[in-house]
Amino acid sequence: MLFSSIVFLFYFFPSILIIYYALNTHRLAQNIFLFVASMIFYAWVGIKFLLLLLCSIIINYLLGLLIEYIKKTRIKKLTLIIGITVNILYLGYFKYTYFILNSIDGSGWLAAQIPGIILPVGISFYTFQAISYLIDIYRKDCPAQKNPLYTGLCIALFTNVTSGPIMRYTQIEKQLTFRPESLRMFSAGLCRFCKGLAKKLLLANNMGIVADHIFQMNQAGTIPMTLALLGSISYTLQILFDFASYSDMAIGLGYMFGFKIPENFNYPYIAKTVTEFWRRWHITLGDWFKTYVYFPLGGSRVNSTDTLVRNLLIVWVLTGIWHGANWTFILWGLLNFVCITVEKLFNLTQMSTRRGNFFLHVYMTIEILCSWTLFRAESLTLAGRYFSSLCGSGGFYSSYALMFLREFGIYYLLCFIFLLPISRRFNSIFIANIFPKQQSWYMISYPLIMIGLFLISLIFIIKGTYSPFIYFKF
Amino acid sequence: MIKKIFRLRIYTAIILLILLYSFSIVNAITQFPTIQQNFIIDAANNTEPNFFIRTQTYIKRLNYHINNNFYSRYTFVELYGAWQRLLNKKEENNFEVIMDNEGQAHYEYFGKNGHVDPALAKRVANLKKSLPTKTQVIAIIPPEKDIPNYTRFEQGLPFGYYNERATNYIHELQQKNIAAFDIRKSLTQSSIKPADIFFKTDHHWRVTTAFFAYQHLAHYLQTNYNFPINQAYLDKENWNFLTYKNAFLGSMGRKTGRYYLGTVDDITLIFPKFNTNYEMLMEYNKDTVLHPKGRFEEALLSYVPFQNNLDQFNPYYDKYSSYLSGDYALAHIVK
Repeated sequence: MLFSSIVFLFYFFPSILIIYYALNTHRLAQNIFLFVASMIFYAWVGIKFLLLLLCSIIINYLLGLLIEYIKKTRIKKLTLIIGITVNILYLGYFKYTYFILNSIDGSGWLAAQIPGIILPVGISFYTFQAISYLIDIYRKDCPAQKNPLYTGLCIALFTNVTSGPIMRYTQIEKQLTFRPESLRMFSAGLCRFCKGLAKKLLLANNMGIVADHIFQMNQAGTIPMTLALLGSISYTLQILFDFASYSDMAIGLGYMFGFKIPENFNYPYIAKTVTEFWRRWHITLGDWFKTYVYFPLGGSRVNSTDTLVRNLLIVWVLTGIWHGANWTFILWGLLNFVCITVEKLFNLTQMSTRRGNFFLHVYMTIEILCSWTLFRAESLTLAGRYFSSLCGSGGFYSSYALMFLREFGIYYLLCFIFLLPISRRFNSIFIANIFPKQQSWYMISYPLIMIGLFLISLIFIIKGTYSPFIYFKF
Repeated sequence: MIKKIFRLRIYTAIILLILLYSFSIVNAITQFPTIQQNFIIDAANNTEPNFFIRTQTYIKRLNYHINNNFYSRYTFVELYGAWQRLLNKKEENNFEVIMDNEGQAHYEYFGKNGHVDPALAKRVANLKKSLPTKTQVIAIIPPEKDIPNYTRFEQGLPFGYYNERATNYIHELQQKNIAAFDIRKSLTQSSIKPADIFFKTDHHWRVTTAFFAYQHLAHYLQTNYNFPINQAYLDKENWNFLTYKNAFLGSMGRKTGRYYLGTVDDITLIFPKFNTNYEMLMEYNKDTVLHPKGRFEEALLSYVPFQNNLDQFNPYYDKYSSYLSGDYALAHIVK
């Protein structure tokens, strides 16, 4: 079930909202209801996948209790290691089996011996939430849940089970029993949800149309440089608005049910370094790797540069692998590793001169376009072909590029405007009351714009426009 | 000021909730009977023994019926078309429909050239081989909606090279000594204006164009194969031409809505004045068998699409399908 579907918007969401607030006096009943609703939400994608999710919840619930119950440190640690291994094997089996087998045997014979592995939706997200659950119990940051339904909520709350944001156990544990629903929070959540919906349908989907066509053309042969460049830019915009919009909708929904879900994006394309970029992009994933991988390895506070580089390499290879079962993702992870390591070793993050900033922005533009091109390519061969197209091997001029710009120009313009923190600036100007005479304009235009965006989004949804969700593949 | 902003958000949220619940309630009340009915039919046909597959099929079908049964759905389709028109876009919904500079709608794709699979001509040659020597095999090449020297697209729009493909196909046929009757050539010499060859909102040629093709095909058979033709059957005076103004929203129009294309087509029904007696047998499925008999307009024309107040967006009421009641795998017509 997608957030931007008729089933969710007009049937599922209105129903659960009413029932949830009808159970307002009884927190346990509300939580049980949320759990059931989350399972129905997930089952819509596939009943088999729901069974797998339930198995994951039960196993992690039992492991959590075991970890808390065991007092001997060595056995406690062993149980944790077993728990993490079980989760990783679970993820690895569904996500990486075919990749591993095809990497061993390029002809595909080995992979053909194991038919029928379908990747469950959101497995990478909820498995990481499950691992976080076990580790936080082990570290005694939070107690294990005695109620398995609560464990289920920690791992698979419907707002973020399919595409994040990834919530660590410590971030959700207290909210299960205490979350102050308020009208302010609810209304902020609903407005945020509508913004996310509009971003997805108007911006992400239209950029996706262009990107998908261009990358498909690249499959048949090299394409002109202008077209390849436009394809990279389009995908760069698509992935931001697609993922950020989903996070907006998830956070907005969370607010409506009283949950404070952590922010996942903070205008990443204004970053000056890759290090800064990853503090603004998929923040919860970076946070997860930092908390459970990087810091336990020693982080940046290590004695030798070799250890620092090793730690970064481990984190970025794992980040690449997490994103997908393809050598392109591993290479993408390595590219990020190289950039971050160079930035750390040469202190690029400290550069603050005007000229320095300009070069950093140029560097980041090239790095972002190259890394997302690699990320999007279906294989290393196609990635290589795409890069050669970017270098001009397929010629320069393309009438298709002009056509895409002409047909989707308005959407490109909006994308470039909204990838900058303009709305945040607007809000802070009005909060500071810098233009008191224009206050009434803001008071009138805000609701009109939100209602307009909502109605336009409805038109796109009901028409049934092209609507891929990139991060659904994870 | 912060309090004002929060209050503003609360008022906005209330309006949004009212809108959301209004759509939700109206939709549930008006569409539930249809969704329920369709789901019951699907459930009865779902005889899959595997529980998981059966359940998954139920969910998929329910999802499908919910998505396709939305109150006033086609109003939203029209509004989407209007939005695209406002942005002056020549493509609609991921290039599903392309508009040319003359305002005609097309189905196109990102073709590279007019390459045609040689297997197609080979199949026709095999058909010819399998028939008695006296039987003539003629390939009829209908016109394409991309009309040479008339149809113009904005630069860069996808183009299927249909005419080039047809020309290459004729060349392949000629190499295999198969005759081809190219209606495109005849049309260039006719009085039919390029704008009137095809419907604006549909991918089919107009009924009047089909009638012209019928006349010229008869003439071609008579000239090249001494096929006996009664000239009275080709005379326009012996046929009824019944035009319904602004009555037909074609396949592309149903996808884009009227506002995008800015028009609805006229449609002309053509049926003979002279005596005719036909019997047609068509099996849509075991439960749907059509067996009309009588004059041309009784047996071969369906009036269902022309009944009043029928949903123009519903493909079952496509007026073009009044001829032979639409597309069937096999229709047996006896004169």
